[in-house]
Amino acid sequence: MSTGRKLVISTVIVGLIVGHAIPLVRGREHWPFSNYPMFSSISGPEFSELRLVGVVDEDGEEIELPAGTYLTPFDAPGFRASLPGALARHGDDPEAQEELLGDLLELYDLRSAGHGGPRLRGLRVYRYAWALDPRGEVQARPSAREFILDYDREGRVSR
Amino acid sequence: MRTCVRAWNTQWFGPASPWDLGVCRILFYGMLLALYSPVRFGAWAEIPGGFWEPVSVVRVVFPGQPSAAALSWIGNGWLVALLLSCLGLATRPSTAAAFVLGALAVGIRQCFGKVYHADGIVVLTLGILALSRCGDALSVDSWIARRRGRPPAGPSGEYRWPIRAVWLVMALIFFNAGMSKLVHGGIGWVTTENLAIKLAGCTIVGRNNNSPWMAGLVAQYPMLCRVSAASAVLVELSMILTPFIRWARRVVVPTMFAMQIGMAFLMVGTGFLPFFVVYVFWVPWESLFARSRPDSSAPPELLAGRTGPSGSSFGSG
Repeated sequence: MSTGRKLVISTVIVGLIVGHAIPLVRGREHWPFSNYPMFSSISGPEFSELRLVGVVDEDGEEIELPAGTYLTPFDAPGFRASLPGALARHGDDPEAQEELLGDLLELYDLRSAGHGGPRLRGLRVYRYAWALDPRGEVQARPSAREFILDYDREGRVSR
Repeated sequence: MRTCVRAWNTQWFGPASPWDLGVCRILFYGMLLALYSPVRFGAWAEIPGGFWEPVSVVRVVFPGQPSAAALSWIGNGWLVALLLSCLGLATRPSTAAAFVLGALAVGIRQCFGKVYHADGIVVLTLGILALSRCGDALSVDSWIARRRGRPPAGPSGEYRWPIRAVWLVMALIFFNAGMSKLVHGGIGWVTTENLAIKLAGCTIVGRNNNSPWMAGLVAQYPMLCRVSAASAVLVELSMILTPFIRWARRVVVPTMFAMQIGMAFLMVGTGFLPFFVVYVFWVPWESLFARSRPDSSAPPELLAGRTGPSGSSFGSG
């Protein structure tokens, strides 16, 4: 190997080290480099997350909408992480929120041939909460559910 | 100073046969091809624009959300480049294309509010291989070269540094993960019920692709959870030793692999799949092959290159 080539490769190797050090020091991700913060915070027994549900009929019957089934290419972890940020960005703008949820309903419709779900009248966003008990059972139901947003097919958003 | 340079050269540029790197090339690109072939890259264009939050690598090329046609071209182009790289046909341009297109194809799914932590290593490994001479053995290119009367590639530092650079990337990733736990969680990450509660969180139906009962079962044993948490941090931090110390490679890497399998079952489902592809760089393929063929009926390229310790062996210095 020539010395020049070794220098180039050595620079790349040092770049890889520095590239990984920066996110660790700054506490921020610079993809494809990261400080890999997943699971790094201490979890308390209270846990909550936003969930999107579909409104099926006039009585308000709802179905869960697992993203990996109904909103592909989102998968469940991706959608779970993305939804709060997307809603927060449009927090003070009802029109933007209406557009966001309208687009999600459109995505649901676009995937309907694949998932075979019912035609929805609208979408709702809830905050689900769980009281986690490590020595408890598998948790099928949340301990609390807080209504956040409602969107109907006519484009009305209510809180 | 001279000692440092010598140690650096030995670590990264000591002679190694091209065979291990060739096997890693075939497996890495081949497995990526299998993993990403079913993906419809154009579908990301259908995600509502309100979710668009591009990472800088993608934003350079696409300031706005790209069209389905553009994403399909990138994705399909990437798959073709992966196939050519796997075969070792026009290896230098195809691995370069696999890196550039891969950074975009893999990068696009980081642009909707979530970074997938198993994807970064794929792009960095693509970059390392794009700079390497991974097509010098076990490739269509090397077969054509031999037909033209060129001698097979002999041992060189060119075949050692790429494998070790991938080791380094993996080591840094896990070291960062371990450090993040200490920085954000502190010692409480290990000593409290933290991991048990995290596992209990995995028992929430619909949150993960795995079986929630398994996480629930482990969560019921607090001491087991504390020991697991301590082991996780220790093993992650110890990974930083693996590119440089032989025993660390022999002990820590298999332990880390087993730990990731466990985490896949308990917590993250299939999320680690791209990560597992990169483990092929830790396997001493040449030694394994030589051990399984004591009659020396190994392929000519292997025999041509077998003159010293290989770059990817757990046992090499």
